[in-house]
Amino acid sequence: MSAELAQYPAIFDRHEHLRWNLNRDIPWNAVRPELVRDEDRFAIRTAALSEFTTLAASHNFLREFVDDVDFSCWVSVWFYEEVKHHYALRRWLERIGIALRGDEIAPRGRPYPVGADPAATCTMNVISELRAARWYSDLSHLTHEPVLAAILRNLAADEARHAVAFASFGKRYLERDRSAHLRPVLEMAYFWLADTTHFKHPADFFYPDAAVEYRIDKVPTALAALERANHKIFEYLTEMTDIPLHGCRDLKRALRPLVPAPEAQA
Amino acid sequence: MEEVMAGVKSVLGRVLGIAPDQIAAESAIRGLPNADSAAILEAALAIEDRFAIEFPDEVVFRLETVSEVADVVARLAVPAGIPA
Repeated sequence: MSAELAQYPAIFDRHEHLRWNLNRDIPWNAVRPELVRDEDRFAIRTAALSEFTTLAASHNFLREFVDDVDFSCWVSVWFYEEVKHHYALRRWLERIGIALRGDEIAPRGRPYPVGADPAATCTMNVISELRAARWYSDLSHLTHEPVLAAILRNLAADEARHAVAFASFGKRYLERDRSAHLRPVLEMAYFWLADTTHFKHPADFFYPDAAVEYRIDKVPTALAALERANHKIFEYLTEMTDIPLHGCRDLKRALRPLVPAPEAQA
Repeated sequence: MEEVMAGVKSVLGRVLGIAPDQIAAESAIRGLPNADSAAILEAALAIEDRFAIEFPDEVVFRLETVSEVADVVARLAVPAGIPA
C-alpha cells in the first residue's frame, strides 16, 4: 500500500473554500410550500432516495481502493458531502410535509457488486456526477421555490466538483498503466453513455427493485439533462484518456483496436 | 437470414467461450454464460466487423435475445449488399 497523498490535499484545500454549510447557508425558515409544484415533489423525493445509495457506494469505494490511500482519503470527504445531499433534500421535503419512509430508503443502502477496475469505476462516477450536476442545475432554474433552488445550486456545484476529482484520479490510473486501464475505461463509458433514451444512473441501475415509483429515469427533467450533460462528459473523457472523444462512435473507434478479434482468441 | 443467425451465434460463441450450438435463437443474451456488459460490447464490435455494419448505440445493450440481434444485423446488412 502506498501512503502517498498526491492529489487529496490539493483537492481537499480547493473544495474546503467552496464547501457550504447546511445550517448556516440555507434559509430554512424561508421555505414557501405554496410555490412547490407536483413535479418538484416527485423529482426531489426521487433525488433524495437516489442520494442515499452513497452509503453502499462508499462501502464499495473503500473495498475497491483499499490500496489507494490518496483516493480513500478523498472519497471519505465525498461520502460526507453526498450524505449531506440526502439530508438536505430530506429536510426540505419535511418542510413541505413529505416524510420519506424507511421502507423506501433502506433498500437503497444495500450493497452492490464492487467494481473490477478502479479507473473504470472513476469513469462511471465522472458520468453520473456530471449528469446529476446538470439535472440539479436545470431543476434549480425550473423550480419556483427559492430555498429548493438554493439547495439545488449547491448540490449541482458539489457534483461538478466531484466529477473533476474522479476524472483526476481516473487519469492518474491511466497514466500509471494505460494498457491495463484504457479498455475498461472505454467500455465503462460506452456502457453508461450509449443509450440516451434512459437516464442510466448507478442509483437506479444497481437497485432495479427499490422504490420503483421513484426512479431517476422516470423524471422528465432528468432525461432532458442527459444530452445537455454529454458535451462536458466527453470533454472530461478526452482529458482523462488523451483521446479525442466527442461521442459514442469515438468510444467504439478507440476501443476496437484494444479488443482482440474472436478468431484471435479461438 | 439463416446465414446471419449462424454468424451471430458463431461470434457470440467465440466471445463468450461457448459452443454455438448451445445458443438458441430465443436465448436471452444476458442469460448466456459469461455475458456481462463488457462481453456484450465485445460481441457487438465483433459482429459489426463480421457483417460490416454499425449498431445504433442505443440498441447495443437493449437487444434481449439472439434472434433480436440477428434481426437488427439483417436489417443493417442488407443495404450494404450482404445477403440476409
